[in-house]
Amino acid sequence: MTGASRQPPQFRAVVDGVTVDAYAHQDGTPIAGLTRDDFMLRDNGIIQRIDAVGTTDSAHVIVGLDVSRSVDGESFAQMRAAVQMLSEQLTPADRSSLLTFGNRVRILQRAASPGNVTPVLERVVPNGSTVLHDALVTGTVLARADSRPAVFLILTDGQDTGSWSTASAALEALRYGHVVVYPVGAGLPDVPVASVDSEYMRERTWLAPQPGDTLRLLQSVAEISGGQFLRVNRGEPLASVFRGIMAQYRQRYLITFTPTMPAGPGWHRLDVSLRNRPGTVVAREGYVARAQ
Amino acid sequence: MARVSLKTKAFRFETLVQGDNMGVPMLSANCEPDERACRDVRDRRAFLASCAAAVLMPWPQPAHAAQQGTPINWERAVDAYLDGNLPLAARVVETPPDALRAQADDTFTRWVAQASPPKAVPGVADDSADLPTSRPAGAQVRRATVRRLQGSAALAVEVMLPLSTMGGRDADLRALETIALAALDHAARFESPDLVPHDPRGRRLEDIRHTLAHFRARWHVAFLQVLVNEHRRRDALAVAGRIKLPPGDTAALAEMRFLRGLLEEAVVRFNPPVRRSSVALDSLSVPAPSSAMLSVGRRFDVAGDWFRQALAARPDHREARLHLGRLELERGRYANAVDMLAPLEVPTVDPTSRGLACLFTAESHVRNGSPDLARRAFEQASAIGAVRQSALIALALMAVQEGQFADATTLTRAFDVDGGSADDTADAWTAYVSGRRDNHAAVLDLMREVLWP
Repeated sequence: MTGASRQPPQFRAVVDGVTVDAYAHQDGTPIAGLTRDDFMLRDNGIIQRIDAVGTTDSAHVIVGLDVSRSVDGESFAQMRAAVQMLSEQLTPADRSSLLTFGNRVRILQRAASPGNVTPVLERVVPNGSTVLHDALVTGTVLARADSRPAVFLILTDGQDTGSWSTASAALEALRYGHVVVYPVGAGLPDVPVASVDSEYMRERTWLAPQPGDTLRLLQSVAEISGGQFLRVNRGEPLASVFRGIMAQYRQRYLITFTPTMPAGPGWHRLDVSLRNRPGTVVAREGYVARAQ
Repeated sequence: MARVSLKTKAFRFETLVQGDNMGVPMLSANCEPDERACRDVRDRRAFLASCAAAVLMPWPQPAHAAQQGTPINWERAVDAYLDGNLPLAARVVETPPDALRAQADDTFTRWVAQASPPKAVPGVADDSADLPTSRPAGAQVRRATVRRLQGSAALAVEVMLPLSTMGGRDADLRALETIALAALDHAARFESPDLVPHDPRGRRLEDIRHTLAHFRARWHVAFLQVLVNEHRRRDALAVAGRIKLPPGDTAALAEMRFLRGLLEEAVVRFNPPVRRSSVALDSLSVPAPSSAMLSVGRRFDVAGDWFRQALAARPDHREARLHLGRLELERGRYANAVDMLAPLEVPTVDPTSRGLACLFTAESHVRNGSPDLARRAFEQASAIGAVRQSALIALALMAVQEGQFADATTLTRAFDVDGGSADDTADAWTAYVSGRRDNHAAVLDLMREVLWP
């Protein structure tokens, strides 16, 4: 046996430029006017040279709406109005996608120019179960239907009742994807957030979420993707919540870097912070580099 | 005198029933003044009736179709059911639950009174020679009564089955459960030697009693299905423990074992078990499930044992095979799972079982590190409407993990809606994990077979 054959196999990772969608703020107030010199980015602990910093002036905005049986007529009317308002807020440089999830995931609009979405939503009748995990997977995939930076607003009032994807599979898809997710929980019960080690979050088969599991899932979705989990009570105006999300998203920076070698395949943890100034940066937890 | 009294009472009662249900729309009585609320209640009850009718449809339809718009009372519903007019019978759920319960209770009292020997009244001459029990006609009356009481229990469980899969139907379900259990209690009286109903087949007394008990046992198997749908583990265990099937009834035995497995599997997925309200079963004490402390995997094994026993009783039980195959996959015995599921992946098997079998086989290959075999099986599943969405999501997940986002995006095009006309029924996997079975008719057919002739 030669010395070379005893060495473990070497895999080169396929990574070109990596773009990280980051939100810099100080005590909740966005910090504007930052340049690449203001950011420090570590890939698996190694400081990287930032190639460029851009803005999110144009975006692919994906909206996912829970249209299961639990959504009553009044809530759905409010949902429709909020989505229409959001659509009106977008510019011609943006693209929008719209999906619903009840018994099934249905894509009502795919990376289209912003326009009137009310007619298409008026044909939707809330009914059936809640395939929340499958909707998360679909939204993650749909983000790639357009090359613009993607933001995914997903609104749910309940828990998964029968997706093919498990909670862990949905989170794994997010790690592979590149979309900032803002989960909005409407009227979710006020219970302690479950552990990340709960059976629901861990098992490779479908298990019904227990109290606190859905909160944990939605929080994890936001943490992994660099978004934010928001809770609204029944009756609270959704339109202002959506408006707030978009206002925050427009303040984000697109940080691009080319990983310095060696960049092995697999999970790369990212840490983004500010140099020489106070503030916090919220960004996705990492990315997956594929083996060549 | 007693007979006259009975007849008079019966006549009066019948008049009241007609007045309450035929002349006055029952739904109006329960409506709020608000017109919209009235319409909602009417729509909901009509919806329930249509749902119930949908599951009843597999029985051959009679020539006389259900008449729309006419409320139906319990007696008429039962007679329609026994006559094979299922759409009409199912409309019984248009009546509000409390009214339905009261109506059925009165009806049972009247039926039983008509078929029972009168009590001797002191000072009144014994004219028993003229009573129904001592006349040849008495046995005929009892025959009709037994048939109607069994029909009542059967109709209730037929309607409960679809309702129990919907959620939010507790009031209707509790009313029907009470009615069915009362009907069975009344019917049990006719197992007494002095109240034997006429048997058109001319069987011996022992055989007659055996047949009556057989209906009760098979009804309970059907009722077990309702309890499983509602995840009422405690009640289901109590009912299962009381079912005494006659030796040789392997079909019902297989169903009962299958339902036990289904219950255990659902309990694992919905851990901790959901405690639901019970009507007549609350008094039955059942030990806490010992499996509650076991790991998910070990508890799947408990369910798997029941499916294995169902297959031992009936090797051609498709759903038991499907669930056992799934549980072999859950336990990491991938080759066993693939072997177990293979007989279901042929065109002669119903699309739901076939589709789920393909999905589970594909998942076994994924976990066993054979992506090409997995992809092929998922693609096979994606051609079957019942599981298409799950198969496409699974393929998209595989594509994402391989970094093939363009392929994943293309797969999601199947979810695009054009004009809102896309199918919105739940994927078969969603029904599977909820613990609901595909073939409700299996337990209903068994029950119908032993209805009193």
